Amino acid sequence: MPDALLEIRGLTKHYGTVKALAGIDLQVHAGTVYGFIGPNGAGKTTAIRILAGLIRPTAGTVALGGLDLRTRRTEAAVGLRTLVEVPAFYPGLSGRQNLTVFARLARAEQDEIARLLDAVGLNEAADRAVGGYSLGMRQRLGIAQALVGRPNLVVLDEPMNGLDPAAIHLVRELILTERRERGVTFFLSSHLLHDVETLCDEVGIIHRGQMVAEGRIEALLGGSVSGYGVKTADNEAALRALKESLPAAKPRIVDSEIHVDGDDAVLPALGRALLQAGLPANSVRPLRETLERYFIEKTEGVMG
Amino acid sequence: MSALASLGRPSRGTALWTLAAAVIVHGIVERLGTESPLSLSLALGFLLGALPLLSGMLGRALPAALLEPLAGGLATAAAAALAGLLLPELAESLDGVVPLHFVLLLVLGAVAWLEPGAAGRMRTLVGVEWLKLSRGRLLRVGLGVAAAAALLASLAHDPVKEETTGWTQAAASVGVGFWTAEILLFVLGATAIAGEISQGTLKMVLPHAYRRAEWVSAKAIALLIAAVLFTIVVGVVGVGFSVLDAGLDDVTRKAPPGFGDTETLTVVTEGAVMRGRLLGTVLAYAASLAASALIGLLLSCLFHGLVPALSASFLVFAAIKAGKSFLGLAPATLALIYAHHPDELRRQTEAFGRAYNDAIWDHAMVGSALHLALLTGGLALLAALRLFGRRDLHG
Repeated sequence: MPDALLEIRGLTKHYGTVKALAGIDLQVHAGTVYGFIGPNGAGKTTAIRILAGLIRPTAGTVALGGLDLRTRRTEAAVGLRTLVEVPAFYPGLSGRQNLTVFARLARAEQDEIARLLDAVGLNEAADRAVGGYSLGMRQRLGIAQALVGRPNLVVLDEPMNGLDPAAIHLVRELILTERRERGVTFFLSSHLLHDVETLCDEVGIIHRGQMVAEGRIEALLGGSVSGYGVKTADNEAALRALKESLPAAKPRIVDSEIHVDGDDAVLPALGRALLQAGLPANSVRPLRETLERYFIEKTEGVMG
Repeated sequence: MSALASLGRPSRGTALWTLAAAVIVHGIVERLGTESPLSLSLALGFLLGALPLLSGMLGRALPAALLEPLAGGLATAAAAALAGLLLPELAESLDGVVPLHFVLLLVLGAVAWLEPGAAGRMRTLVGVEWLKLSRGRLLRVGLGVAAAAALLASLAHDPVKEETTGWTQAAASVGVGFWTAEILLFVLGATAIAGEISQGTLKMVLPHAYRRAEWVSAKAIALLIAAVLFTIVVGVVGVGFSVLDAGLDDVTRKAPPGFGDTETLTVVTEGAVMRGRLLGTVLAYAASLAASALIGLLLSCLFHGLVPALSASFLVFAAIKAGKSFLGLAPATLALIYAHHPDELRRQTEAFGRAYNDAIWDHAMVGSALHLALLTGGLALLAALRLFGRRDLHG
């Protein structure tokens, strides 16, 4: 594994007696998409605000490209872009003028503005005052400002909020394209676990200010088979047979399959039960752990 | 990294120029003595020349390293020559100001020298802040309101019977115009950071690779540029209208005819002297505007929301402007407030414009006004830098 682009060590933030962050450690590697997930109030936004330089940590360090973000911010944050919570812009300026402000701050070429406006589908509205933009349009403009000036790390806090399905698809594609073509690293906080599972290579789960799991998604989920999906010629009859012989595996019909819980030890009993019922399996596939189930397990059932 | 390293070059050039020019100018001023109008003109000219260096409004990228000192030097020479010719009367009012400017320039130069790349970043930030300020409605509407106030004061002015010139009209117009401008500068200052927190834009811009001190400094420079604009607008409207309407000539008094004599016209104060006094008044007002803007900026750093910041600004403005009526402050106490002297200078200018015999022009007041404004504005800026640098932003 190459060196980490972003490295957080012992990050702590106290608000009086409340411990918003209790010494978290995480690493984000260059060229990856990192999903930062956790229930509401877990400390995600606090960590992102520290990354963005909006609040000061009580203890711990955040290093970007090996440089401490707090003591050497002017060097370390050159390639850092963030979108914290709901994006906000100067309402009297147009979308293009707002992007010009961010392009200047990022010392980006002016022709990049047109490319990004096109990429987020805001070309037609670019010269209208942002005050008249919908939440979705602002969100898309927020994504565009986060990509201006060839960033190396883009931190997006709930980037899909307020977007319609078409815009969600557009943003998802944009993230994948920027990573593939420009090698941009993304640090993504989201409640949409399906999106995280689809987009991210690595995830970190934070709960009550502490990291409860971190690593590559396939490593976290891939090793564990949570059950099997079986297809037979008559699923209803097979289900009745399995409920009698394997009640502990909680057989049930999901879509066109019968799902049973259990690891590979359940397979011989499953095969025997189906053969005894005269309904041999047409297909058997392992059911892997989903990020959602894994998340619920790690956060003790506290949903975001 | 090479891009980062190159940002240091304009900064070094700027710092070297600022330090060298400060030393040269100080040397000249020391040799000529502060009573010499030329020395004062040189110092003023240098300040004008240094302004592009500080604001970073000239040049971009690498040529800036050459352009800025050159432009600063040329502006210094031109402004010094012009000021020496036009403002000899003003010089005597500014004794003692030069060394303070020298110290200020030294500090600025040292800051630029010590922080590699600071000049490049400041140039970017000032450009961004000015873009936001100039495209926003508040500045444009504010300039229009201040101009309208100055014009209305001119139109509504009722001269005394013996008056043949427009000095009292100009003083009244300038007074009303700057009073209005001061409120607006307080508002601009108070909205600079609190407004951005309220509308959520600060969390969008602050993560970029700049120090918080640079953000506050850039906002301060943009506000100072706005103060200069207000000064120009109010000055042009207030003084310009009086020139066109009644004229700004020698202040005269008619002596009644004696036995068998004809009526005589005596020049009480020459027009050139009056122009110097009015310019001194405008200069004091301009410094007061700048200090007000920086106090507004400090209040902006103190409050999380726009409404508390604006409310505090109006209270501070009322306390400063109406200290005598509302707080019962004595004249000696009022003289310690930076905004007191400009009003006093305007009253004196008005009295001279009416050819009053008992009017006494206090030369020291312009210098005191500049000192107090510099001190107040400087302290407000330092406090703002300190407060904003340590603050958690949750909005």
